[in-house]
Amino acid sequence: MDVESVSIASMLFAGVLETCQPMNMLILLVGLLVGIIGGMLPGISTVTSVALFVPFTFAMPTTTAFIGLGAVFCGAMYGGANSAILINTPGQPAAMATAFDGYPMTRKGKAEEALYLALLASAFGGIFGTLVLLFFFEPLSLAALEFGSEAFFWMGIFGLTTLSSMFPGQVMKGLLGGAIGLAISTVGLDPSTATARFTFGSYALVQGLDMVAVMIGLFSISQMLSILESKDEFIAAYAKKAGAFRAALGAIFGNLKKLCFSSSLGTFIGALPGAGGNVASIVAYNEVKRWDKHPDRFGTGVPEGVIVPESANNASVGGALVPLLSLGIPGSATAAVLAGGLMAQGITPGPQLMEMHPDLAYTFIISMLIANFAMILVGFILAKVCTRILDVPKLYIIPAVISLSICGAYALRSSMFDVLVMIASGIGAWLMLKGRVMPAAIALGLVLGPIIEESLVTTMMRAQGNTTLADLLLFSPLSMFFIAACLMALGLPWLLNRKRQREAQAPAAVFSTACLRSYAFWLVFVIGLVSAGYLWEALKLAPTPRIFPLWVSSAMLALSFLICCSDFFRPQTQPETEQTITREARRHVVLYSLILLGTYFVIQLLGFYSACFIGVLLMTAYGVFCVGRTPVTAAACAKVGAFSVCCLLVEYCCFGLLLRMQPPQGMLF
Amino acid sequence: MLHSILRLVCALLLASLPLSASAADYPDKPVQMVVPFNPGGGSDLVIRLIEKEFAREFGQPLTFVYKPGASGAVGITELKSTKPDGYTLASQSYPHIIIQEISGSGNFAVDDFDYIGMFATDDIFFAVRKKSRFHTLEEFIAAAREKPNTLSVATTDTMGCSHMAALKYKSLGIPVNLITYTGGAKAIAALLGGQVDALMIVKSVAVPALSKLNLLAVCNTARDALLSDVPTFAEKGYDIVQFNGRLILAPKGLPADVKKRLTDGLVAVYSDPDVAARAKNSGYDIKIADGDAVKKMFDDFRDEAGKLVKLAQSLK
Repeated sequence: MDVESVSIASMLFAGVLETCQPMNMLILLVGLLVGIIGGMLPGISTVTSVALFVPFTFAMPTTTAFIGLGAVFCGAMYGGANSAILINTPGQPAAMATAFDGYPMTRKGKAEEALYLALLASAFGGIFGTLVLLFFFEPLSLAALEFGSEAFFWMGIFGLTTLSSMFPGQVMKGLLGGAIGLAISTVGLDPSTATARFTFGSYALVQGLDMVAVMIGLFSISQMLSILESKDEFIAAYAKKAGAFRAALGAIFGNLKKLCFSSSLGTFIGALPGAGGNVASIVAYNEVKRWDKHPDRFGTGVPEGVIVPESANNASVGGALVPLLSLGIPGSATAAVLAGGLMAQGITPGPQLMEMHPDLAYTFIISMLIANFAMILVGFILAKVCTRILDVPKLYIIPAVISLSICGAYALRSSMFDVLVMIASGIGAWLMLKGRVMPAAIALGLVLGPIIEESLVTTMMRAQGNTTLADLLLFSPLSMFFIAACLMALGLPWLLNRKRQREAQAPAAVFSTACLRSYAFWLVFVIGLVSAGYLWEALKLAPTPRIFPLWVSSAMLALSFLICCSDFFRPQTQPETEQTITREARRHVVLYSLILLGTYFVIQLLGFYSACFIGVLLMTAYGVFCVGRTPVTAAACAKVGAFSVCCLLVEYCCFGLLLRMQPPQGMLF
Repeated sequence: MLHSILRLVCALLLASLPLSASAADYPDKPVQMVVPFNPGGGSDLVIRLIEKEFAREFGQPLTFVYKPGASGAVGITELKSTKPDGYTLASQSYPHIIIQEISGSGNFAVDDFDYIGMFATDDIFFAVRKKSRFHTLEEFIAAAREKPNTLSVATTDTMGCSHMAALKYKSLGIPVNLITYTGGAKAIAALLGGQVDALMIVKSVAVPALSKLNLLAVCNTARDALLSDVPTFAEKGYDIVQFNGRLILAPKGLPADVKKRLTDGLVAVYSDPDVAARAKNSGYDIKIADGDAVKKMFDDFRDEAGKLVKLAQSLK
């Protein structure tokens, strides 16, 4: 061995010793706990979790601060999976894909196994990403630099192709949902000229519709309303089964190849500045699904559907640190916050960190490895606690999740407007869901919209010089690679579908006006009208800011037109399976929505916590006495009251005391 | 029972509030700092730098509220409607705030605020990557003039200091192609990946990546203290002066004695040699200007800013 590798080995060893010091180990565990819990709560995304931890590191020695921040980052990436699996509400955008198969597993009664799968896969991905960071960070960072705006554009489009296979039999509505998401992402200042778009003179809209706020609405509110209208008393049947952990372990070892694939994909995407866990998990899920022998089984609750996105998003943590340590460029918003925390310590992350403080850098990397192992332990205990949520009747879960969502939406940017956006998108998403326009499709558009638009505009600006737009966007090697991948992604399901249809001999379509009586038809019709208005508004914009909105609005208009038309020609043997909803259930949903909106308006008057308390109290009382038909007794009333107080206390402790959120105060508090 | 609990909580909360806040004992509760960006950014760091010293000087800690959106315009717009009692301050940059007034992305005028002062500056550098074929500013400009609009200059923001510096560069008649990126990370990656030829970059963003960059000039009248081998644009005969000034502001109508207490205290804090050393490490220079000087900076820049904003809009 040469001198250099000996010195690296000794520094790695020193890193292990340093991390295992009691104080550092304690901070590591605290960091993990903070990260996992933050990741679990809707609204506290990875960025927020790390940002909230930063101020606590100021008082720590540099190494300890490093270790703590890394642990929060790892924990938060994993934590989102818990809520995605248990209540179909991703705690943060990167766990979106985990819900696709995680929640169906819960419905099948395999919640515990799904949680362990997510935990083990996260640890695997995290370790994988960190090892790549340790050994290959130089070549990986150089490869990531080759990724220009044109490649980003196509990667975004490639991500959108997921829509074509996400909802079998509902391809058009999947695409329509994606287009709606893209449209939502264009509200606010445009990325190239900072001109306000689609704000209708309202200043609040200038800041745009926050991606996370909309996603909390899309997933948690709409999901809670759906659970409310269902007839089950609990979210999912759950019986404790022995051997869940062993089953999960078996599934991990049985899928090592897939795990390595998704982890390497996650690490690479994490290393791209501007992408990150959100994109990594979607792309990895999509790829593994595409190359599976039976892609249709994904979405029904298969273990692979949980471990692939979870390993990818945790692998992206290591990836995000690659450009940070090798070039001084944070690979994601979270890495940027982490870098800020380090700079406050007087340490400048970047190539000179490796040169001047290699001991610190290696301790950091080693601590990330150890954090991932420790995560299995912490996560295991938390998973045990979390599954208990399935023992709680849904009528208690719903108000709790809804009020946590309100706090989470406010905590994003300390903005009441985000709370309104969250509520509106939640109710909107439920209305769409009833017409089979899936919130997941909208969320996908929402995540990818800014990436696609920004890189498209940047590519166009770059093309003003000696290269033409076609050179960059069509004929550069990376573009051609992605175009081929997109074509394959679109072509493959289409071919498969055709083959299947030929075998099945689809019945002839007959013209009928039955669709005029269906809710889904009129929903799409209204979406069509809205997109026409959106197109009209887009035409008024200046040439550069309007390009992307024009594309999106045209696509929306065309898709809604096509869906409406095809509704008239539905094969008669295949009746439209309307999502039937009883009049009573509809009344419950409307009432809950009204309480939700009422809470928003009362916040200004009474203050944040008191309004949330009243909201929870009303929802729980209505739920227990009117939906659940429990007789009104003193004991039942006390139970409802005590539950609401508990909710209030938990929220106040989490958001007020720990996160130091300063919500609006009204007459009360 | 419920109500009594609620009442108790309310009573406790009320008791914790001060009865009256007179300027003499200002501050007698924590001071809230609105950071109109995500945590970890420059506007945050420049305040975090003095967190300990602030508490020592004023006897009260700072609390941080992050209200990101539209390059800080959203948080600053909200600041306008808060009470001018000295318990709500904000951190924002020059020239962003005046550009936001002109472009309308902020729903305010710069006169809606009282300025405690400017406490740190960030120089802006004209950088190429280490592997670039250009080694001096002259080489770059000669190549740009030889084949107009083939070389590209990236900026790390839209309508911010980096963009303004690049616009000044272009308005001197150097035919380059401007490309705006949203954020330093993406812009440096594009520079290092060779997708753009040069970059206008703020010092604090450049410092971590310094060993990969070649700084050709600095947009200032004097050379930077830390990077003194980089010539100024003025030395090369180009009049480009632009920097990022870190301001601390309050809603208009701050009582005069509170404002004085804040100014004096913050000047003392930022003059602390410890603070200066830490700032230098992160790429900031402590440079102090009082509220009137800040106002004058706005007035001097307003006409030119209007022209630059028009130029930027004409390029699209």
